[in-house]
Amino acid sequence: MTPPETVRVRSRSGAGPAPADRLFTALAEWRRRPEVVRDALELLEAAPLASAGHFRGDLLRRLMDLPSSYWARQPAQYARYRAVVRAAALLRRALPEAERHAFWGDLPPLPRGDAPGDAPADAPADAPRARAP
Amino acid sequence: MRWRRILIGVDFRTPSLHAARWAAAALGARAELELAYVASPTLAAFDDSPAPTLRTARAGLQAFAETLRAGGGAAGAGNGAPLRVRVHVEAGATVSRLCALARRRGADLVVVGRGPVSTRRGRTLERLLRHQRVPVLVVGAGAPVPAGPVRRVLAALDTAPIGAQVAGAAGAFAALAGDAATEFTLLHVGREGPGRPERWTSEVEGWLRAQGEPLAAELRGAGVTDVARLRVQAVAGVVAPVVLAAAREQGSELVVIGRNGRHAAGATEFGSAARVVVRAAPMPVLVVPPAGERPPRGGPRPDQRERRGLRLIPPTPTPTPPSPRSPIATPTPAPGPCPEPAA
Repeated sequence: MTPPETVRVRSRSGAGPAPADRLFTALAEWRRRPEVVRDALELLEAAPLASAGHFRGDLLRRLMDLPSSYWARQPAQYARYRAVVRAAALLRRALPEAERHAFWGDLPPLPRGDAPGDAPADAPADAPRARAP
Repeated sequence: MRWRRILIGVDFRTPSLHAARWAAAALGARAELELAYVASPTLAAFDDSPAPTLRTARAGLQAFAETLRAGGGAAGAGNGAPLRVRVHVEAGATVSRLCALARRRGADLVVVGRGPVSTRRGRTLERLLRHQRVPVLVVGAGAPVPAGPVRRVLAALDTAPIGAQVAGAAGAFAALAGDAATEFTLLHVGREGPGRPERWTSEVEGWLRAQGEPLAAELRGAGVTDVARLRVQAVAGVVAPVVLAAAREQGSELVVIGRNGRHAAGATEFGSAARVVVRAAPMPVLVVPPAGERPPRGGPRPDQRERRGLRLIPPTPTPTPPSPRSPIATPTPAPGPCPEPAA
């Protein structure tokens, strides 16, 4: 099995590079989500099956976990996301069967137990986090 | 009650994909699985034509179905038979579309995923539970995928008529497991009546055994002879915490609970006990609706544009008849009360 590629792009939201694994973790949180999604899309446009180390395309899978309500607020990002999903689908057809199936595998648990989309994307950074009842 | 045709709601998020894998492993051996994706009309509105997005969704769903066939249900099949999986892609309001699809396809069971508990999410799940006329299996993202049919089932029985349906639904899982040892617990949680607690307990346990008799008879009819592991338990207390504690203590792989809706606050609610159990149980929860229930006022909310008469996408074409090796007859849609959205 080919090791997952590591693609790095210059982050516009931060000072340093935005490796896939950092974006993978950041996508699970809601702070500055539009910026994080923008960085992730930038990375995925260059390599639609970019990996954070779990399986090929795991970063895209994390992006797919975002709720529809997020994309409804970000139509420009949604257009880019659609293009990335289609490009990744085409690339996956060329993968070996095992890697193709691995794309649909379970993602690792979220770092703090919350799902993406628990808080609105435009919520202030110090807004209270969602709590279990 | 038998699970022959199972509709699985998939939105490509991790919980729904996990629920589909769980269903394939636990139920795929003897049932036909139908994966359904309902595209949000809000997002479809960004497209000049929604067709490419829906085509991508269909391709994704087919790829996922291929993954399930390749290994997702192999462990559960037992007899080596490949999983039978179909896909459906539609656009519209999720709840009304899934209700309509379940009715149209004659689904016996609907399976959906549940993400981590949050106070801000889960309304779609709750509306679906309230409006579906068939049992809904909710699989949490953390529930381990079983190696085959589930073996330990906890059924929470109410004294209302729905108790028999809950027991029947639990029995359907035992029928899937065949003669493999399946452990049942029939649990009743209630308030102790006047008199000594021991008397209340023995009376309720007697009632539970009576509830278990038709269940055992049905299992024998299905060829399952080992029904000795049927336990009954009467506990005084508050329903949801007691059910959750008992399920954890007994290592139950599945909890079956009815939704009476007696404590429902409105058309989107379905009762406090079932609601709490669905949201908090680490294992999958099967929610059984009462038989002959009238739909809530208004029914599931169709999409705005559907109400104006605009169809975003034609309904999924009628699939080809089942293959000769499939024992499943073409279903005739039951006149269920789940309303069809306005065309």
